Amino acid sequence: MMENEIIVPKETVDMTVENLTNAVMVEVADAIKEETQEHDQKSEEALSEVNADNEEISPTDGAADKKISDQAIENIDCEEAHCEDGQQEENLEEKLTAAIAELERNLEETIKEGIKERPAEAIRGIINDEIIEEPEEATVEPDPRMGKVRATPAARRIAREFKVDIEKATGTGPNGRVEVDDVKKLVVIQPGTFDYKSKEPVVIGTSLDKIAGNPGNLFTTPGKLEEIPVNKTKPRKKLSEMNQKVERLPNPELDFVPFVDANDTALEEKDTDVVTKISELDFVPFVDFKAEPLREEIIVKPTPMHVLRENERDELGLKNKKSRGLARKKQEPEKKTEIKSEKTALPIASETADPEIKMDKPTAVDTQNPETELAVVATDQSTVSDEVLQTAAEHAIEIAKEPLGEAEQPVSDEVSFEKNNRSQGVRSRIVRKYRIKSEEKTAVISLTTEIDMTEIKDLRKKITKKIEEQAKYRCTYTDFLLLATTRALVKHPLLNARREDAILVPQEYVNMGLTVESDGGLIVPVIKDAQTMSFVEIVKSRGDLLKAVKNKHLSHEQREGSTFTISNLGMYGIREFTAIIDPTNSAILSVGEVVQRIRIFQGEPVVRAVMKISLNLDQRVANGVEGAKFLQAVKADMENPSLLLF
Amino acid sequence: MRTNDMTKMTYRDAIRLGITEEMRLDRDVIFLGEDIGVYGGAFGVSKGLLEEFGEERILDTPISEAAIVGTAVGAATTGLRPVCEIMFMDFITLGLDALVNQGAKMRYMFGGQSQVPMVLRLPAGSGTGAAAQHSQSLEAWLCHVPGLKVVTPSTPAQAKGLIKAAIRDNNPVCFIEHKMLYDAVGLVPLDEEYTLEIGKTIVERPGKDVTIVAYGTTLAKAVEAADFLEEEGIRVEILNPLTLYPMDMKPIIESVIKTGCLIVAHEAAKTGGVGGEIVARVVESEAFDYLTAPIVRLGGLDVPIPFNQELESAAVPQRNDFVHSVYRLLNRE
Repeated sequence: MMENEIIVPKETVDMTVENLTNAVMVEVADAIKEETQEHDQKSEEALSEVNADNEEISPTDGAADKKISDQAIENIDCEEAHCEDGQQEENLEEKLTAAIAELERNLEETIKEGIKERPAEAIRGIINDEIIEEPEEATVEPDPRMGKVRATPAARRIAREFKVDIEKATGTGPNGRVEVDDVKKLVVIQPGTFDYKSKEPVVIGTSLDKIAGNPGNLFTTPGKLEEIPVNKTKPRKKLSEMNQKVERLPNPELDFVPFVDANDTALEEKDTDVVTKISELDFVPFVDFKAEPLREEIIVKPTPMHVLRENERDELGLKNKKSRGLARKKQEPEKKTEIKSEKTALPIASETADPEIKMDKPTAVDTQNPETELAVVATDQSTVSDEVLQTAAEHAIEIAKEPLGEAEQPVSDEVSFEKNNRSQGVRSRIVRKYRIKSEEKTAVISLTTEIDMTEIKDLRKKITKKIEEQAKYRCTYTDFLLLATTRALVKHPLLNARREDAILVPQEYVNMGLTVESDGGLIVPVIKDAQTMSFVEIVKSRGDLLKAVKNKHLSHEQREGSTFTISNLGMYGIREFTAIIDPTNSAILSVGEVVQRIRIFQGEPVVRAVMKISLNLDQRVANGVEGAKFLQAVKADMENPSLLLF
Repeated sequence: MRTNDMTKMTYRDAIRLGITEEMRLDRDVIFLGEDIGVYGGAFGVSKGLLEEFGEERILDTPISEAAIVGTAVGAATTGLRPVCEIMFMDFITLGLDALVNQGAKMRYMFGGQSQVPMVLRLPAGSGTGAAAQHSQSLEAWLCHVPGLKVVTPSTPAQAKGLIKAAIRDNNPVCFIEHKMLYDAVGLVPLDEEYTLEIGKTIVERPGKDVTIVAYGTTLAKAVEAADFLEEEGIRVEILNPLTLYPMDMKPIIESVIKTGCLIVAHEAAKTGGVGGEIVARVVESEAFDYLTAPIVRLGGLDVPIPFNQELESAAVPQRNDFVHSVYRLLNRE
């Protein structure tokens, strides 16, 4: 509107010469408008007796320039015609022509002199009315603090973790700021949800151990835990006085601490976060026996960043795949009729064709798993026609063989994502991506050896309590293996190389990656600078990382920059396997289960604890002999573990 | 000579001891600057060096910082290990081109084939009544240049350990010493191999209620304040970054997680200072969720350092500023 037109030239005149011309144009237009207004008044005066009913000159449009004035003149001509029709008065006509002449002269003058005169007026305009109104409007805006809670970040964190509505807290800090203590007052725990007094030891590898596949892992309830014979050797009271954690220690024969959940699995699924967080409680919350749980009302729960990122990737990937899938269907119109059955049968077919994915899955099948439903559907379909399934399977294999250039990620998973458990989908995708990438770019050789773990087992029994006192975590066979592998890597730096495309960068430091399964799929937290660490430090850093994974606090830095990876599926009862090399590493060590086997030891057949480890090695980085020497070094260290600790 | 002995000596003597030891150990170490030979340096740090090492290794330069830094960068790339004294840190502006555009970039741009193992000794800070042109603390400028390392010791022992580490480092290291600390006395290890690792933050004083990060004389004031607060039962944890760039943030973040309150202090002007960077990194980190109060930054006022002594001390953080900030963080005011 008007104010805009006036303000713009005022500023631009000061700015540049280019803008100056624009300003002139606008000024001129402006001047013309005012002139036309004046002209209207004059002609109205002149034609007072005439009914000038078709005056339509609107001065509002700013874009108009000379045309407006021309139109104005034409209009006036029209008015002339009108008046000639009505009453013919020569005086009037003369006056009119004189007025028009004067108008035109004024116009020309203003065109020439407009620049000098108008800015002054424009400034006046700004100062007088238009601009001044704006700040007044701004003050009317509502206070942005309205309706928001003033709270410290720590208070917000606690509210988030305990699912407390922070708006209900009464702030006692400056300006009513909600402090940590204010939120703690609101934390209400339903009786029986958990026992906050029993600060459990931080359980390592928890989510991995929920699996029923390992026959040794039979501890599912705390009642059974307490019956472990090992603890019976000492009076329980004394133990608990000494260290509460010891009471909860399971059989040290195991490679890991089993996941202990006091309650139902359903509850655990629902409130996993709360339960784990509360194990870290440093205060005693108020237990209200009548209170309703607040958890229903919670809104304060942002999605963790890593989940967000994966979801984004997921969506992106899905889109790409859909478009690709469409293109493929067009190419193969004769298969279109079978699309429906294809959709249900595909995931099964593709997964059976993919050993890696299968291994990641629990061996015991959960009946509530949507996957099994799918399988049922698929078998129904297969009974209808075996041919259909066969073609579908063929199709899946075909897709799996598709060259990387065309489809970087496997297309065959497309359907399973939509119906399947989401996190499973994400995980299998990650694995597939790694496999294809590594298969395409590497020539992998695989070496396997068996390690006698009996001595380590004995050693661990001896030192486990001592280590736990120092590191606050229990030591496992993995810790010994980490140490032995690190030592061996220092001796064989080629395996510790970091690969970027075709470039090989051997590293002086050992950043040890450790594959861990979590809700978001496979995660590889990295123990940085492992070569400088003592055994206790390794136990501690591994424990810290797994704790971070469990609590979803793992930072981006903590999972980047690995130079070597260890993958352990022993807890699932896997005897031996070969894992996929991380695209940035040159090798990966796969660790199997520790089992009792009869071996010839010092000429006698005796029962020994043995474990198989496999090294997958990119042959372009190092040859088989190098890998074998590496395994030899690991084996030597593991079989003489006393030396490891020094 | 390896020994566990420690002697009381001043900050000035500790720096001289560090340089002397390194010059005895390594013939490549040279020392250049204005008035460092016969006169012994504007602050007396290089007294006696000329007699011991001679004019070949102790070079009195013309009054041109550009020449000093340029010579040092060139000498360093050809294999010497120059230590330069810029009489006042304020004058580094004249040598910045050679330092920032050449010295800091060479090792990177030549793919590691060339190294610039030089040390710039930069006396900084106010308190001497030397007014605006001789009292600045410009460390934040240097921290903004990747390729340089910036260290600042606060005690005689740290001075010796860091100057030795700086001379042994293969990158240009800016060694910022505070003028008011030259006469500070402390125990210094006499071990020839005693060095402090560059890039390590240390805990000067453990505590649990408030974290203070400070260096230079500000650190001494923070310690005074902590002593005062200790009597009231407030235990302040004080951290000394030692290396301003690249700074070791881990201890700071862990300390903030422990205490929930953070004060960052330095003498340099608050706007654009190193403290802002520390705060930003803390807030970016996990420690954000553990903050129980807004972070406090104590810095010099955004004014040229005044000549008048009262005004001069009013322009930089003092002990009472720390005390009041701690009260504020703990809601005791």
